[in-house]
Parts: sequence; C-alpha cells; structure tokens
Amino acid sequence: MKTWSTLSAVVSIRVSDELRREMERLCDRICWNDEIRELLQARVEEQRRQEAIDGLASYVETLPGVPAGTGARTVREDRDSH
Amino acid sequence: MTVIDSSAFARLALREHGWEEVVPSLRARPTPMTVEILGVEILKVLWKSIRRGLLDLEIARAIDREVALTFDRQVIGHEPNARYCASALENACEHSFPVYDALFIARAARQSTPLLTADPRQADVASSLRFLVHLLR
Repeated sequence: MKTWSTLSAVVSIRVSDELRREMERLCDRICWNDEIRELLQARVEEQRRQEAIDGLASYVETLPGVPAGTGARTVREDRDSH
Repeated sequence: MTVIDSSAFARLALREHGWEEVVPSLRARPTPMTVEILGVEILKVLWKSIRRGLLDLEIARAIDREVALTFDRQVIGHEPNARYCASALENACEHSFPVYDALFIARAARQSTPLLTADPRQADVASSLRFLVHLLR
C-alpha cells in the first residue's frame, strides 16, 4: 500500500448535525482523522487499481491473439517436463 | 479473493479466446493473489510463443512490460514462492504432481481461497484435494 508521507492538505466535508453530534460523542473511542484518512486512501488506491485493470484490458484488446489453449498448454508442458 | 494460476493469467496476457473471463477476477475485492513464479512462467510462455512463431519479439516485450505493470500497480498481489515451498513440496510428493502446481495450490490453501486456472489437470489436482476451483474453459 502506498503511504503519503506528509499531511499538509486539509479536506472539509459537510455532514448532518446529528452525525456531527454522534461523532463528537464517540470521539474518545474513534480517531475520526485516522478513520477518514484511511478510508480516503483505500478508495483512491482501489480506484487506481481499477484504472490499471481498464488499461490492461484496453491493451490486451489491441493484441493479435494466439490460438486457444496456448498458455495453459505451454505452462503444463514445462511443469510436466521437470 | 481468488488465487490466479499462470495458465489463467496467460490466457489474458496473450489474448486467447475467452480472455475477458479473467477480468472480473482481477476487479474483485479483495485483490487477487498469486505467487512470484507466475512472472517466470509467463515469461516462458512468451519465449516459447516467439519460438513457435505465434508472437513477434516486439509484442512479447510489450506484454512483458504490461505484466510488470500489473504487479507494480497491485492489480494482482504476489507473494514470495519461499513462503509456500514447504507446503508445496509436501503436497507434490504426497500426491505426485509438479511442485509448480503445488505452489499455487498451497497459496490457495492458506485462506481456503478459490483457484482460477485454465489448466484442466491443475483443476483436477486441486479439486481432488477439495479446493474450490474455477476452471476457465
């Protein structure tokens, strides 16, 4: 997992008054900064991963292709040859 | 989570018929896993495909770069072979199948994770050991 080494930016979000009250009530048990930071980081990393999969799939679509079963057959013949 | 065997990933990387069926396993959460040997086995598939006239060297190089990016970008998590060697050796000896198959099966065994393979023989072996297998046909 990538780690962001500096914490210099501030992000503000709006929540309902009720949620804010509950967050304050629970703040001795939950570190909201850490919770929100981890959530944002995980979401960004997952989105990057999905973009990488999109990129990989787009690239594969450009390939000429090989006959069906080529990969599995080749892997199998190597594994069985030892 | 799924454990991805080299035969399944090769189907995608070489654009074989049915390659699209591998993509949903990549997209799923948690991130699919494999063992390091997958990279070497894909390299061997590329090399043999060049030798057999199925691929140009330039295309093989580009595929190899994409495979490296797949690991760098955590599309598939990969773990050291060494972590699974002891278990793989034991299973390979006990059930008489190659240690290469056994490495992937050992990874799948760690968390009772389904194994994604395009190789019927590996699927048979894993099924006989009561592992959940998704065989790409």
